[in-house]
Amino acid sequence: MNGVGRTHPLLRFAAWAVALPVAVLFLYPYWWMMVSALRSTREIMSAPLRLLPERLDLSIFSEISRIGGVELWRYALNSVAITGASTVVGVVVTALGAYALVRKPKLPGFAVLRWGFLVAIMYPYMLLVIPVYLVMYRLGLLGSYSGIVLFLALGPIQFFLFEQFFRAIPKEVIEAAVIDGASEAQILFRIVLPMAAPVTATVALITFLINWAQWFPVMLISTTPDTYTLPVALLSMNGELGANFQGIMALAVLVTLPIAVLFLLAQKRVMAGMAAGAVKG
Amino acid sequence: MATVRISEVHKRFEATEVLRGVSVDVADGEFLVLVGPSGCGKSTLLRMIAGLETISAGEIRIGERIVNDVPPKERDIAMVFQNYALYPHMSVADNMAFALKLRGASQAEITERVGRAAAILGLGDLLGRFPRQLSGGQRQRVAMGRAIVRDPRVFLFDEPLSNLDAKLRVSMRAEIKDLHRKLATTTIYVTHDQIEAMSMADRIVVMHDGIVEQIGAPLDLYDRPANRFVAGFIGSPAMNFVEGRIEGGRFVSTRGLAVPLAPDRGAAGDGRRVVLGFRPEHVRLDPEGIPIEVTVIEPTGSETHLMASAAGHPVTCVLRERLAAGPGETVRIALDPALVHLFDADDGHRLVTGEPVRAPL
Repeated sequence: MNGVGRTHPLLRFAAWAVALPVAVLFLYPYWWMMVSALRSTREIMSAPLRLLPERLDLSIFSEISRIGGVELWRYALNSVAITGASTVVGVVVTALGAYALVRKPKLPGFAVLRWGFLVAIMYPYMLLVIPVYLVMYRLGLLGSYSGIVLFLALGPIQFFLFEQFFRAIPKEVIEAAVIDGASEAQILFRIVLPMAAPVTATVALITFLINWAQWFPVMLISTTPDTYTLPVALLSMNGELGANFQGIMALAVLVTLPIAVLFLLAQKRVMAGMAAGAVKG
Repeated sequence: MATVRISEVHKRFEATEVLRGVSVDVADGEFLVLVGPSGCGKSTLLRMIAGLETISAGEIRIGERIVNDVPPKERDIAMVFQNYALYPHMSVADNMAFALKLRGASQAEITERVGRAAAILGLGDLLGRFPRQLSGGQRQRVAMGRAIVRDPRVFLFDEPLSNLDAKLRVSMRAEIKDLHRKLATTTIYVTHDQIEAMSMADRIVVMHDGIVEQIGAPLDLYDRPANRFVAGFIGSPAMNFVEGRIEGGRFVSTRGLAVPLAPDRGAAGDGRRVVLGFRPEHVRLDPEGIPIEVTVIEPTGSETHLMASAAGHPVTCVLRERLAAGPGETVRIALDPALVHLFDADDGHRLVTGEPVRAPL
């Protein structure tokens, strides 16, 4: 990073000349969303490209405090609870699973499991509707929080991030611990997991980001709006009788802003974790 | 401290047999080096002594106890790995203290033992650092410190110097040897580097293809290699070999090169097919000697290395003299009949077992 400050001024100019338009391309829609949250649907329609709202009117937020007969805070609480729980469960389960798979790759069924995860990445999401619904029905988890959390917790990408990290730990480190007298549990908790702290943080953040935006499994497994999350509420505002653009934009701001801030605060960590997984440290 | 007795040990990985009946006795306090080319099974044998690999057949004893089914932590051994295998999230002090903590040692004992090991290895100033903040040599010293603090009955080293640069390797070699002198702990040391083996070992075990080729003191292996493999493996540059047969007390090569033999060597049998071996350093210039045509000449300062052709046989010579000859020129060399080796052409075993072949003082 130190090199950047010393590069030729022309190069720096060129870098900015590329970076700025790209940044605008990504930031403009977000800005448009925030501005439109403060403008009536009629105003949005008549002058869609305005860069600033006509006036500062926050009344829309009280208008959307109840959507589809459910309080907005209920959706928000569901979002926080479901995303939080699925992140915790997901990190614990995929970390332990990936560790077991790396440590004892020859246990029966493990190879199949790994392929299963790989297939899960390639499989079109929509094709999961019927099997997921049936499985949840059989398990008696339809309409329950645990059903939603369970489904969201198991992510193949998280699993592969952990697996890649554990694979990169030299086997001699673990053997040294064995000779030092550590039990399997001590190896896991005193050697492997402390080493995995950066990748754990990365996986936790990625899981949180992914699950926060999920709406399809939530809708699929829910039987009443009581277990809906914010993205589902957002979806439900796009009704058959037309769309309340201002309401949608206002809710979209509420849904995305906290997560955007969280990501900005943590992105350095995420990038470091991704890189640590990619190149053997 | 303890003896280690390895009896008829076999190791199979599915269809491949990596060790095919290896027996070695290690004396109490001995520095034993297992050496051989990669794939010879030396590391596997070490890992079996450590308990990191199971034993397919045979028996390993540490002290009086058969350890075949004893888990590593109960064998009271310590191991130093090629890539150091330090715990990256622990400081130097914590790395060394880990085994003691697991054992439930008191804080006072841990401090005392870590302090003592750090003093022996000159790590006193580094105790608070993390492995990533250390150089390769320092890391390897921490790995040794981790082994020392446990005061084990046997030290196992698995190519500990292979990741270090040449200069550091030489100084660490001396350090490990010195450490062994101070602690006098039974040590089994694996390397593929025969110079490391020669310079450090009390005794060397030369392994090849899963069997022991020869066990002996370093100079014994140099002077009296039991077979062609050991002869070629020990010594650098490697021994020259020329195929031929014995005729009238002389050696005559397949291409007609004749070399006089000492009477006891000529007695190996007239007409017998043999391989003549001579070390590059056992050659001297002689105006009456065998003509060889120089292909490459390498002056190293202290000596001159010649790669040449003797009647079509490739030979390497190490001469004390500085030589003016260039590629394509012919020089004449002589071999001391007392310093040549004869090996059976078929199975490679040494033919003359009488007096040791030794360089004149």
